[in-house]
Amino acid sequence: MIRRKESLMSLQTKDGFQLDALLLLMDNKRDILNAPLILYIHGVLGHFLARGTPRLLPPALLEYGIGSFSVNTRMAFMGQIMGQGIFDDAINDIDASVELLVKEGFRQIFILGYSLGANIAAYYAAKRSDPNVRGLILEGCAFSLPDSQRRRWDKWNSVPSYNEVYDKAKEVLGPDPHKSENDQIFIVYRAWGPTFYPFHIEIFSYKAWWFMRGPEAYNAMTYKLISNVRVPVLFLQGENDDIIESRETEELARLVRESGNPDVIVKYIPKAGHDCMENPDETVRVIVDWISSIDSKARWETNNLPA
Amino acid sequence: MEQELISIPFGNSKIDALLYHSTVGSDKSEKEPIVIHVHGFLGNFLDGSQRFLPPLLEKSGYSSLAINTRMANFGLFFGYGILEDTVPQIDTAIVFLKELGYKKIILSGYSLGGNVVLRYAALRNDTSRYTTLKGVIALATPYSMPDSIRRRWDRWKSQPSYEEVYRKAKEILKPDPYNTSEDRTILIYRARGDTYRPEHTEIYTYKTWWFLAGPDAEGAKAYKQIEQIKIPILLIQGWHDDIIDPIETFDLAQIALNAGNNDVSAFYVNTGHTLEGKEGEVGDIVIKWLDRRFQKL
Repeated sequence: MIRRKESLMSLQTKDGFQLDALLLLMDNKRDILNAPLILYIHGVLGHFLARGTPRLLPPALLEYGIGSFSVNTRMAFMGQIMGQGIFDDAINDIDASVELLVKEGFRQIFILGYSLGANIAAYYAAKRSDPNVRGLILEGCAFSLPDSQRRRWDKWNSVPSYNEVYDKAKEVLGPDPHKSENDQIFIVYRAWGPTFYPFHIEIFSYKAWWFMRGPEAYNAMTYKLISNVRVPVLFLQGENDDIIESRETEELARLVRESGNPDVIVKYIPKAGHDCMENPDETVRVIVDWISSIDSKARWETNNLPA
Repeated sequence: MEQELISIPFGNSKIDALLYHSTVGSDKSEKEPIVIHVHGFLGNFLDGSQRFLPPLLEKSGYSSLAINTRMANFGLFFGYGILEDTVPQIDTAIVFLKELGYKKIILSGYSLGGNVVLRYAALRNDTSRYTTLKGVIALATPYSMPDSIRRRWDRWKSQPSYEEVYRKAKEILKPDPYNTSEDRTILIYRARGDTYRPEHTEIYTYKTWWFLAGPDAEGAKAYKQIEQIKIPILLIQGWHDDIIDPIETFDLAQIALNAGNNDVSAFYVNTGHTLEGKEGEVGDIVIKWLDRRFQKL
């Protein structure tokens, strides 16, 4: 067990959001700024304490000298319900996080997005190119968030249906959804399974849904923009993922390669579902090997880790 | 100050918490009591008084444990945020602190968290048995959560109405609301204001509503809990609170005094329900209250 230093931090985005983040570093490592550091982006209704990858991966990778900065974006907790969790605007949260880390002197930044966070991270990497961001890890990344949800709702005969929600969203939000003053929360029953019980529902505000799951949520259609990603990409997916199909990952990887970016690897984690940390040993090994292969020229003192 | 994110094992689950360990005067034995903070409606330990009070207390040498109960975040939306189920969670947090060596513990709750800590202290009011619990702090706490919610919904003409929700809840949860496996998530529009916007909407399941806001939610009626508490009580509220009427704090204090508790204090600060803008003043009140009771001045 290594000594670790944990700091709860707050940061401000350029559009005025205050975000919480957790910085996890080795306490007694001298060359900490040149060691890899992963910026973590959580999944749906997630946060940095959510079970699985957000909670378990940072301390596991710290054992290998890889620090972490886990940020609660505007989509954390109830962001998609209370209306402030606009997918397109979450890019500001990653901007602010990267800016803060660079200002602090970190130069080997990797971004890891889990589930919804993977789509946000891909959107960021397609739009931005900070030289300090060295690579992207996309765990359980949907080919398209809108298509994925439409298929799932259709499968379970959701109440209301996808098209009914779309019609109502247009009515509530009017001609300019982003600037609309109108918004409402709605529940979709039978969104995750065949019952009306709480664990099979989904809740959104129409505005948050529009930019994350609606048929015009173009930035959440990762296949439309992933060709613009120029940094190395590691796709991770559990072999038993019951939310994302394996072909979605393969197709995304193919699109990156065809765009001329050769640094793309797909790894399927055995004995894991949507959350790869159901198999922590294999997940950690894959990430450490991949970062090592990219970061071999950096002064990452893996051999000098404290006992 | 040292902060540590911790997970306290709780059955098959865990309680997430942030431990603020005061290092003021660390050359001496640590100052007690330690304060456990409980969040408000849909809150967590990154919000509100759970966030601002521990650092203020730390400067005076008091450590804190800010916990996320089952009612944190969206516990109310998915059916597991039952008020009564927070009691064993607080038991576990107290045992955890006792194992760390603490002998004096104060419970502090904000808004809904005030109802939670008053409920807990009422159920654990045998001071010969529960020797470590030394006091309760209730910030912006409603006199009765069910009455407060009913009044608010009536005021804004909520959709559905309080009575409609009650009728439907009885139908769905009967005959044993606590043990039933039937439940639904519901939206209440115009619950907190006169629009259909998200900030004026509330979300529950029938079951979480039943035990927090329903007319039979005895545990959420603070006036019934506070009269059973025999340890020191501190009540603080914003004078301009637009969620809880300021008279509610006065009435709670009066009930506790009438029940024979001779250590009941109530303070008002010149702010609203969130206590925003008066964090330092609230901190000063709490620190003085702790110092006068637990330190040799």
